[in-house]
Amino acid sequence: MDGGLLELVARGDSQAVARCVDRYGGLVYALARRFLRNAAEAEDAVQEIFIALWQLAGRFDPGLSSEPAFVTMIARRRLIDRQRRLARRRETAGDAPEALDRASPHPGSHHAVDVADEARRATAAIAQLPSQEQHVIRLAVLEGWSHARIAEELNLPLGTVKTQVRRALLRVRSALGAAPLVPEVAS
Amino acid sequence: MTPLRLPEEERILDLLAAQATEGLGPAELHELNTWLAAHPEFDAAGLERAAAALHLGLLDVSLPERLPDPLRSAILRAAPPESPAATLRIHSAPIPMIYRLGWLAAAACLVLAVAGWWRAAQSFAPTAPPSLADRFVQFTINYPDAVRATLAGNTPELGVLRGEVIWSDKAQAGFVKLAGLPANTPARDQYQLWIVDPQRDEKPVDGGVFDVPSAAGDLIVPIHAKLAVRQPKAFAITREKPGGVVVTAGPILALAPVGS
Repeated sequence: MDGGLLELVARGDSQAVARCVDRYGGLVYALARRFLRNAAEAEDAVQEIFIALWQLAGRFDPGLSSEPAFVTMIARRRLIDRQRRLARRRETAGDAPEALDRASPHPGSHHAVDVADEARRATAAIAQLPSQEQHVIRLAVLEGWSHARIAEELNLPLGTVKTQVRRALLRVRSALGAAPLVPEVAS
Repeated sequence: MTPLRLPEEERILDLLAAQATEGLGPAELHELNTWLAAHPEFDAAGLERAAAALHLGLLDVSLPERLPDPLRSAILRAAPPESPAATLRIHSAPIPMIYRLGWLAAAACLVLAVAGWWRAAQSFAPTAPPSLADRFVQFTINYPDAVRATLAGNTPELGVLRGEVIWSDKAQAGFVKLAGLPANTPARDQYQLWIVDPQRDEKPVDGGVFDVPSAAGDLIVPIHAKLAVRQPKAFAITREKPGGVVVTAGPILALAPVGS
């Protein structure tokens, strides 16, 4: 994998920009289609995500995460925002949740993104959790379900879901070898 | 720094975890920002990075999807010609609220109120760094069909503002040339650009924050749209907290309706 691609993008290297689209376009597209139920929304979101990526490329710190994880983080922010907006519009309009409307996938010959060691460590971290907690964090992270929806579908208290999500993410963060998130707490 | 108590710590972690998974509403986001401002020692994006790494691990990327060609082309067309890391800090918080169309009506009233102050054919002696001036000139050459709009403002606080906006839908970028904007103290507040695009959404699109150095005189500011813009109807400037905001309460300091 190219090293420092985002750094080149941040410098305005147009060839790096094109390489970035080719390298991460499939990943971003897959993330968007998974989060959003409408193909047109997903495509709109992908454009939005790359515009954000051009603007934030200079903030990538290889000491904190891999490039794919950074791209995924930027994508998730935009997708979560969009999901919340769409949910509010549906509530306002009194619409039922949209039925799944996914266009046919576009399997391609583009090379797979190197998932990188951190992703493997992250999944290994939650594999040690009880199965219900694994289910909760998968729904929250992979499917983008709200905590309220998870609680309703799994018949769990909302507070339990929030605690489990928090605990799982802290576990993942610890497994990635990051410094403690929380400073020393007063007794 | 006041040490955190356990309930406070848990509250911050709950908010960070929610932000990393389901997002936060305006009140919760404000609460989190308040906590983080008081406790900058927190790694504010730590749980977002954890969620991203986990998502990457859970998503089956061994069978990648291919970006449809039209979408790929659209993304590349929207790539800015300049380095996106230059000059501006971009606020990256979620977008929680919906603007009402009355926002546009209020902006239109301001335009009418200041129309008598605008004198056409003002010349600008650029005092911005040469690189920005060169980029502006090159931009006008590269995108001859870019839209231009006259920027005007007159507020009791800031007095008369005048300027020009140039924007290219193809480049998804542009510039603002302006004069009369007082210097700001970046630690206290920053100016923020907005792109009004009703076809896209009721909410204006964040065009980035910028600072006006002391004795700046005339200024050239690149516009970096945070979202794809389809058909801008106006450009506006407000003054916000450092880093900018997702939703502005105004007031509008200057407005540039497209076609003016």
